[in-house]
Amino acid sequence: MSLIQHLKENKEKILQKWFEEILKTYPPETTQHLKKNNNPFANPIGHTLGESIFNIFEGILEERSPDELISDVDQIIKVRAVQDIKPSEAVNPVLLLKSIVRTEFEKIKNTAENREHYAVIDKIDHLILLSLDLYMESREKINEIKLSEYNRQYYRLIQRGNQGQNN
Amino acid sequence: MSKYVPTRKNLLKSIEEESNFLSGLTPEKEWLDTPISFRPGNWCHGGKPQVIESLDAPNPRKWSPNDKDWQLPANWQKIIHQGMKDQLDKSRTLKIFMDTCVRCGACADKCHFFLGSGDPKNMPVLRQELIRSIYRKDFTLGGKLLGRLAGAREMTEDVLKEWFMYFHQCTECRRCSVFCPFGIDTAEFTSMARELMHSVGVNINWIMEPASNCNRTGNHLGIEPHTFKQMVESLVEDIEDVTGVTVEPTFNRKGAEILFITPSGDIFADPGVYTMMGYLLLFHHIGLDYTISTYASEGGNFGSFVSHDLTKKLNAKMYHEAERLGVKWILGGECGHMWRVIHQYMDTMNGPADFLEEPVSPITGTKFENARSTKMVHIAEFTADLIKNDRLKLDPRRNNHRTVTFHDSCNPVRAMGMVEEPRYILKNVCNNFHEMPENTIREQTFCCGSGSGLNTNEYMDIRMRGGFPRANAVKHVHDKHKVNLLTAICAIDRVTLKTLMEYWVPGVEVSGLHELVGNALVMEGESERTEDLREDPLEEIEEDEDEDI
Ligand code: SF4
Ligand code: SF4
Repeated sequence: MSLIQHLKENKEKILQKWFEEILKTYPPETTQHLKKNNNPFANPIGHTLGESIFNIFEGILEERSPDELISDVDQIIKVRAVQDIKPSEAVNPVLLLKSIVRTEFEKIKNTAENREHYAVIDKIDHLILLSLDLYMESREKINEIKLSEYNRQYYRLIQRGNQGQNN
Repeated sequence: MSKYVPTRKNLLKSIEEESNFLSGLTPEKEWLDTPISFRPGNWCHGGKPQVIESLDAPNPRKWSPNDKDWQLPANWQKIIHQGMKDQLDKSRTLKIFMDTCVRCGACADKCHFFLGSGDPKNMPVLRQELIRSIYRKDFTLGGKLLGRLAGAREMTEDVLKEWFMYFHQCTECRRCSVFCPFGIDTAEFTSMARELMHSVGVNINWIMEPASNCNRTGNHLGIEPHTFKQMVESLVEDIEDVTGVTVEPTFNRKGAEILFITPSGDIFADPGVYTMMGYLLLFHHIGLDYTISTYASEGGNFGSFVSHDLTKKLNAKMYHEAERLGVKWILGGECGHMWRVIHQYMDTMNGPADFLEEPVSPITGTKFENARSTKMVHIAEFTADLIKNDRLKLDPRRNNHRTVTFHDSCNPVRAMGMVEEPRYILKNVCNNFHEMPENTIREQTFCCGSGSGLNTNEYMDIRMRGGFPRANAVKHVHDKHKVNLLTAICAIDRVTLKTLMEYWVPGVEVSGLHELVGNALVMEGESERTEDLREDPLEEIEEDEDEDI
């Protein structure tokens, strides 16, 4: 059986496992809430993570290019960029999939599949790098909006100051 | 970034040894023992000594929350104990709140800071527990005898630091209280904790400095009267550019019928200024006899984020000014906590304002009975009444370039029940309006994440986290209905939601309600309007649709 086929057949189980692994960064009191509450507005983190990993996994199975998955990776990274975690942890969700896929692969290991295995893994690696880039972008965005909020708050004063300089 | 990113060596060490999913370890400590750590982005600067001195407040000194030594007074524990005792004696509600919680957990997942951070100490019930554990130790027999077993603990410097962190991750929005079967209000715990911290000199500059400015010059930024007046006048010029109409506000005019007070953000902040332009157009449209004070030039009350006395002092300024000018009543602009103070505290603090008259709309004759005692009417109520009585000439098509949703600001909706008036106005001034999901609006609204004096730059990470539930709901209507404008009746919202949108939902702008009213008002003698108040081009209006104008 090919790896992709195997992953497709076990899609639900794999997604479940992936989701649970991601939630391990959160304290146990929180995990319950993130897992159980299905309302997207009452559980924005759980919902955003759940939906994004679903789309990413599907994208991989359908052999879409990582660039097409950028908005789903972005959703995960935006959330993680403002949590109390290190950058390595922020991008870790994608990395976690790699180890899950490897475990699955070992179940069906043979040489032909080996190549396929690496192709899949490479794609995931690509996504990991993308994640890091996006993470940095989010941090930069924070700095940018700090400045623009400052400008808006003092909007009229700055305008007056500028006028004064021009006169 | 560099301060935040760990070194490679530390990173490897932490990956191997600490709890994370690379090591497969999960946190082992109970929440009460999980120590806090200050890092850039998760704390606000402490009050500056000159600011604290100007308010005659305790323990002025140069300090920073990430200092090891907070330079507390020698007897700080005693001061906190006594302060807690005084507050419990004064407020029966607080005592009941301390004793009543049954830990049912209904509030646990209702706080936006919990939902956006996943940090259990942001569950309202645990936030309360940060104080309740001390209360048990100091004021209950069980806690005195059994200590930890009864959920009691000693007041230590670490606990104080934890208070500082988590009572500044509560915006006093009161969403949690809506879900508590006993109506226990975590905001009361937060204001108690902030007041106790303040009594030993632990506070944040972003709250203290505006409060001090307000006390000195009448507004947050400390703008002097002549500058304040010039700023309003520059808005008058902008209005003339867009509409061809010259509005004529007056300042400090004795004998005017109405004193108009709004948050100073409406005078100098973007996009608040467009809301101010809306008010000025409205008053001109109906020929209102009003004046603006350059001394009571601030509706917001930063005192309410730190102590009872300071709240009272800043609130009293508005009433003194109304009395000095001899107006009949006060009309208040789109503000959040100003209305909380007016509705919930003003009467017992500084009221009743018997020197003023019971507010009656000079245009429609409507008596605003709910303002009988405070003598202050909310602009949304005032305008809704004008529309209801058909006193405004409106063309909602002038807002056709906007697809609007409405954010219920915590204070007007939960502290004064202001739910339908803004919606009624919106539906009359624009054609494209979509509500966000039910469990994120009205009484269940999600806070902007930056209220109660937390709207400072250095706190951006926490603010973006706290605002995520709100942003998530905006994203939903943005994706589904192409909403491109988020409207709110609070000055803090107008600044901070814009920031929130830039991070989470780019493509959504933020406005006040009266900006849209201003766009829609058909003024006598106006020139043809091609731009809105922001000087953005209007959508073409098909003339054959022009039947009601
Ligand atoms: S008052 Fe608001 S911010 Fe504070 S705990 Fe309750 S929901 Fe959270
Ligand atoms: S909902 Fe009320 S009673 Fe239940 S845990 Fe929260 S504060 Fe306590």
